[in-house]
Amino acid sequence: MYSQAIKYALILACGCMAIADACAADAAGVVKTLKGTVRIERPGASPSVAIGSEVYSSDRIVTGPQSSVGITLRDNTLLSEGSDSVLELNKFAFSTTTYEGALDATIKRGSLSVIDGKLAQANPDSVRYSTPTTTLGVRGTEFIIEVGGKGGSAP
Amino acid sequence: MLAFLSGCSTAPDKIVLLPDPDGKVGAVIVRSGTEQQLINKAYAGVDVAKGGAMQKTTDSQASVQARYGELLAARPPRPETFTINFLFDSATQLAPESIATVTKLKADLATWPAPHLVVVGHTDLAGSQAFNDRLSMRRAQTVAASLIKEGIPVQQIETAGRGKREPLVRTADGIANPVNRRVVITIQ
Repeated sequence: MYSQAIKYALILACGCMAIADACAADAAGVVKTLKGTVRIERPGASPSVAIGSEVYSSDRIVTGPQSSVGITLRDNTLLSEGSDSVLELNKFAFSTTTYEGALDATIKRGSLSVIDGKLAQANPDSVRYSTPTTTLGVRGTEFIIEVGGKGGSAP
Repeated sequence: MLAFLSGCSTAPDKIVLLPDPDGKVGAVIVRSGTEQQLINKAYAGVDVAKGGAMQKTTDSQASVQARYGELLAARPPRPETFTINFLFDSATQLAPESIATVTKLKADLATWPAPHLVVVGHTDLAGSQAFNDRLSMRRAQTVAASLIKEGIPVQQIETAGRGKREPLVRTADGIANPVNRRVVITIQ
């Protein structure tokens, strides 16, 4: 949080691309596909979303009706979020040198597809997906989670 | 879909396991309350009721496509990897076939959404971890420099060294092996 605050202060202060680039390594991932209305909620910022937008740890990614978004995380994890969905990227950290890190994401509403990346392959216990009722541990795979209850079934 | 909507207020969480493009299937462990299920077959799934009760399910490629077609279409492209080898025990001299590899890589980049290149150096198992961490990073930087010379924007390139942690060919520690001296470029 603190370092993000400094980063945004610096970017605001000089509007300087060089600083944004230097911080690119902090991003958890990048938006690769986009359809309809997609919003990224981040404390103290409301970034516009386009292909190439960066996603950070603690971001909340919200899709509208008939909308979707696809995100590649730095460890090659591929996520896609269906329509009327809310995804919270609670935590993401990854070292390309050691493959250590953590991935914790909650799909609060709607649907999520996951293709595991290097973190899940090298260090499966550090990866966790959840819904409000369910927790998933992964062992190098691809899967879909659809959240039940009222969230997933509004007519 | 209709059946699902009619069960509106009590619809369960649904988890479905998919095969990868080669047909391989991993596993998912689903937990809710005190219950736990392991699924490890293609299109096998678990329904989890609000209270935590679980029921195993079996889908098919057709039913998954019908229900989740839009979700699957939104997945980012699968990362592609390219391997560059080094001529001798060198951090700077690329093997001659690397020119063709870079040409192919550039063709893929042209159609890639917001491409990001992760350039990771590797070494064989000769030498200490610290030495090989530095050597692998130098190899990655050599390849990155040649990519930049080929016109790939520097902002799209990230370099890292993985040292001797991931040999392509498993050897005893201390053994020199040319196949393990390489740089792997991943397009994300």
